[in-house]
Amino acid sequence: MKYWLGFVLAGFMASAWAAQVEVVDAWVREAPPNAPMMAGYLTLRNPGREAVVLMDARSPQFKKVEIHRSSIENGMARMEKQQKVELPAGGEIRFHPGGYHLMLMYPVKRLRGGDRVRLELILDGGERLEVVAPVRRDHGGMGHPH
Amino acid sequence: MKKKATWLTVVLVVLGVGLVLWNSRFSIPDLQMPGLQWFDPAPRLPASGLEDTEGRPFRWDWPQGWTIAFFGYTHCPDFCPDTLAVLARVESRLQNAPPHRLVFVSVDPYRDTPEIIRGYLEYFDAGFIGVVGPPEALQAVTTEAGAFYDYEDPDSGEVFRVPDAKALEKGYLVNHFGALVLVDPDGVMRGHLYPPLDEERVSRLILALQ
Ligand SMILES: [Cu+2]
Repeated sequence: MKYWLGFVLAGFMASAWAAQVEVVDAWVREAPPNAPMMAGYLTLRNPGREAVVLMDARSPQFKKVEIHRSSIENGMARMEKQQKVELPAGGEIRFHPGGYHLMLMYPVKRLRGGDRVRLELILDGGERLEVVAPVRRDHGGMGHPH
Repeated sequence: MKKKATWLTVVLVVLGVGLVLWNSRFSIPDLQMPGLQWFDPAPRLPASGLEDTEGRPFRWDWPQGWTIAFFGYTHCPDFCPDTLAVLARVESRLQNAPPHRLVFVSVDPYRDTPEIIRGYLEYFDAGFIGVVGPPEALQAVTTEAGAFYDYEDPDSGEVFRVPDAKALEKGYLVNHFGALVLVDPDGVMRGHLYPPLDEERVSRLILALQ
């Protein structure tokens, strides 16, 4: 009986651990004036033994958020909406410029370098991950620190 | 023989060349790197139809030096600002670069007004020239430059050349040429630099445009 309980407990913990996705290096690119679209980047890590699927993302600071992937195909730059992103067991996926990004559409209020964006990532089990991402400025000029 | 000629015609039409090609008096810069293509002979870009953000007619020929053009749109949150930041950084760091100018051509004239483009570019570098114009003029230029673009519904994947009222309300994605287009002082389109467009590659390119 004792053994049985221990086994159940271990199984439960393993499944909770599987969904314990880590989010690191989250940031949002500051948009130039009048640009209604922003991009959010982060790294998702799945230390668990089961794959996890990112299903959706939202933020109270934007009218709409989508998961996108940019690519260059035959010299053409494109963005494609992703229905989901699979995070393999023990793996990580990097959202970065020119690749996966959170497409943050129509900010409720203009966001500038130093502001914070609250994001909610929705996983396949219905779990939600809360992430706070700083807005960073990268306009390329030398005179202003990023 | 006949078959071969037909095939060649098809290739030329697909490439968007086979129109009028010029032997420019400017020689190809002495630089080779992966993803850098030079053309000789090459098409001359149409001189009229587009305007800069001050409302002046834009001309591709510029006697002072070469033109580096990027075709993008301001609703682009990822690839375009990333590339413009690289170009701005290169501009602020490069020393002893030959005279050149950087031009951003909007391939989204349905949403990008001169004012929007001006504000967008100034954020990166006030020296960037913003160019926009009626769709017909844009199509003529992009065809000659090999800088293709079209629009896409993010949900259905439907591709279109002209956004209708519904698409304008809902929003749409723009698929666009991702390479830099290199134009010689006579306005002849001489090269493409394909991504990755990092600081090192872009700097080497600009330094070679003598
Ligand atoms: Cu996007």
